[in-house]
Amino acid sequence: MDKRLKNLRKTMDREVFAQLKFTESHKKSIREKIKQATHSDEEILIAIMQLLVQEKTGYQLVSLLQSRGILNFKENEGALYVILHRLELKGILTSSWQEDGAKFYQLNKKGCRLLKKVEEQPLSNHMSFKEIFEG
Amino acid sequence: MKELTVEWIQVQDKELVIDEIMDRYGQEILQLAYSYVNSVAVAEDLTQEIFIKCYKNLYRYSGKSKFRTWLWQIAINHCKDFLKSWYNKNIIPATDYFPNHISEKESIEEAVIQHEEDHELMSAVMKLPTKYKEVIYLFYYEELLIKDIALVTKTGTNTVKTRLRRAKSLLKEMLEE
Repeated sequence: MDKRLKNLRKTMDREVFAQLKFTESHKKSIREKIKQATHSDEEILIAIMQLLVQEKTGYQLVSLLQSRGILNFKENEGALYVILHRLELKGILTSSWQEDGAKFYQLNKKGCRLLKKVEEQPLSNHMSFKEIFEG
Repeated sequence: MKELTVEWIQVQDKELVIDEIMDRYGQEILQLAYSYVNSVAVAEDLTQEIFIKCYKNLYRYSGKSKFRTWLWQIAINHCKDFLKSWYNKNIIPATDYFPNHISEKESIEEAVIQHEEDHELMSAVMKLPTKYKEVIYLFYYEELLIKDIALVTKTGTNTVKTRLRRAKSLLKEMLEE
């Protein structure tokens, strides 16, 4: 049996895999799907800021982002808290603990001004955004 | 071919990384998926989903295992999930027809017989239950080491050895019928 199985590779290459090729068009459609399924850092950041004009918890934020089609934080909420923390350090949002133990986040004045500024800019020139992300 | 390193993956643009990954591993992942589902159309779909999953989870790759091992774990998991899924069990007649074709150009009788035997064996392999089929495929087609098969299938080396032995005796029975 071992000896016969040694031929398996050749046989499969010849009879099956000769017609099975991973092509440029496969790659292209994967790239397109990825594009649909993911959003750029900037799009995500704008969405977060827009949602935080009114105060919200991280948990609410995840589900609201999801309903906007941003699934990046589903099963990965940690990443969202990293961003929130960074925004807080940049001084554009404030957080507060409620009595029931939930933490609420809200854009402050500086944050609202920044949001307004980026919404007016064409997407290509969000320099201030790069700073936040790489900050 | 050098393995992709975790440093490289983290530093590069993600689009570029996934392109490189597809160039390197696209063909083998497509074939691997085929070995599980025995259907070109389904294998193509699964391959697409596997690379999207890979892309989304790139940040989780820690460099503890080789990148290829990590990718294969994702792929194998995904294929097995598909086989277990309601969708597979209820919607798709999942297998391609295996024609008993022998190339017409074949003129030497012995070669024909040899091809026929090889073909029979391959069909038998494809009909094995998944846990046996995968070890046969990984060992004889991909020529992975037992310990690497254990890694990508998330089992132990003894399990792999036992399954290989059992797979071979199953094949023997099937071919003798």
